[in-house]
Amino acid sequence: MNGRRLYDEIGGVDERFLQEAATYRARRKAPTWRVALIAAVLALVGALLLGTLAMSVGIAIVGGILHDALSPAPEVPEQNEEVPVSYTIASMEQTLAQRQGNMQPLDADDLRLFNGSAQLIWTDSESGEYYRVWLSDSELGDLLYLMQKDPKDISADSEQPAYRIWICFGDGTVVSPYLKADAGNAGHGQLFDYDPELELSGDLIKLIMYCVET
Amino acid sequence: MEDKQIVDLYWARNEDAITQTSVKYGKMMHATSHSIVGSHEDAEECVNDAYLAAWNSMPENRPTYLGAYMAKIIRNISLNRYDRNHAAKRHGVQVVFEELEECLGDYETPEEQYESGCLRDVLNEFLAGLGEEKRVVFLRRYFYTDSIADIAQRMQISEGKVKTMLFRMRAQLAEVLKEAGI
Repeated sequence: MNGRRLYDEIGGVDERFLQEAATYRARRKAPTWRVALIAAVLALVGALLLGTLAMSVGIAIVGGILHDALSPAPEVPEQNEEVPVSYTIASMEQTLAQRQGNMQPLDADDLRLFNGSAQLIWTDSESGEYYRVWLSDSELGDLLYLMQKDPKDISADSEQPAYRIWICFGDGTVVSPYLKADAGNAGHGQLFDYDPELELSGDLIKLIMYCVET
Repeated sequence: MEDKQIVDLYWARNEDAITQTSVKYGKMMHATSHSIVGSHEDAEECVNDAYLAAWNSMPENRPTYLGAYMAKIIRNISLNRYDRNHAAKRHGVQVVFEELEECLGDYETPEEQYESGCLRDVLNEFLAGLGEEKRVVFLRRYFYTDSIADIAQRMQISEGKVKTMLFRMRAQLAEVLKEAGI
C-alpha cells in the first residue's frame, strides 16, 4: 500500500466526521495578557461609573429635598411612558412561541449537536416539535455564567414552565438552564427530558429572550 | 437553505438544486479541488463535473450531510483529474501522499483485506478516538487537502502546532494500522 491508497481510503470515512470538519468553528482563546488588560479596563470603567453614580445619587437626593421644599404639588405621571418589559417565564415563553411561528421545526434525527456550533433548542409540551437558534461564543459564555449564578430551587408556587429548553455546546454536550450544574444533569449527543429544578433568574430570561429574538 | 431542502430539490429534478448547492458549497468544493489539481481552471471544471455527478446520483441517494457528500464527489473527481494530468512536479496533494506514507509499513496489504473495508473501519475507529480538534485538523489535511497555513488560520492555532499535531497523529495512525496488520 502507498500513501495514495491510504488517501483514497480516507475519502470513504464516516460522513459525520467530514461534516464536522467542514463546519468546525474555532473557539478563539484570548491570550492571558489580553484577558488581564480587559479586566483592568473594565475595573477602571466600573470604578468611574460607580463614582459618577454616587455623585448623581447625592445630587438627586439634595435636589429632591430642595424640589419637595419648593414645589410640594404631586407629580403627574408621563402620558407616553413606556411599559417596562417583564422578564418572566410567561414573557419568555411568549417570545419562544412567536419565534417558532416563523420557523420550520427541526428534524429530530438531525439536531447537529456535534457540528461545533452552539445552539439553544426548545420544544413546547403541546406540539413536541423542536426549534433552534444558533448561539455565538459570547452568548454561550454569558448563558452558562448566568445559569450558575445564584441558582434558586424551583418551589411549588413558582411559575411552571411549559417549554423545555436545552443549551447545546456543539461538541455533543447538552445542558438545561432549568437544571442544577451537576455532572448527572448534562447529556451527550442527545436531548433529554427533565423535571425543572431551578427557577430562571430575570437576567437569564432576558438573555434567552435576546438570543431567541436576534 | 437547509441541506434537506436542497436534496428535496434534487429529488424533484429541480435545477435550482445546483444553484443552491453552488451557493452553499461552491467555495468549499473549489478550494478542495484546487488543492488537489493545483489549477483554478481545472478546479472549475471539476466543480462543474461534481454538480453533474450529484444531479445524476441523487434520485438513488439521499445524503444526510450534503456538504460531506459533495466533498466526497469533488475529491474523487479532482483525484481523477490529477491522475489524468500526470503531474510530475511535487505539489499540494503529492506532499500529502508522502506524509501518509509514514503511516504505512514496508509490507503490502492483502487485497482481500483492503477490499473488505477493514481499513475504512480502522480509520473510522481511529478518528472516533481523536478529540474533535485533532479530528478536524486530520481531516482538513488528509481529506480536504488544506495547506498547513489554512488549517492554522481555521483552527486559530499556530502552524507549528498544526505540524506537531499532524506528526503525532500520523505516528498514532501508524501504530493503529500496524496493530491491525495493515
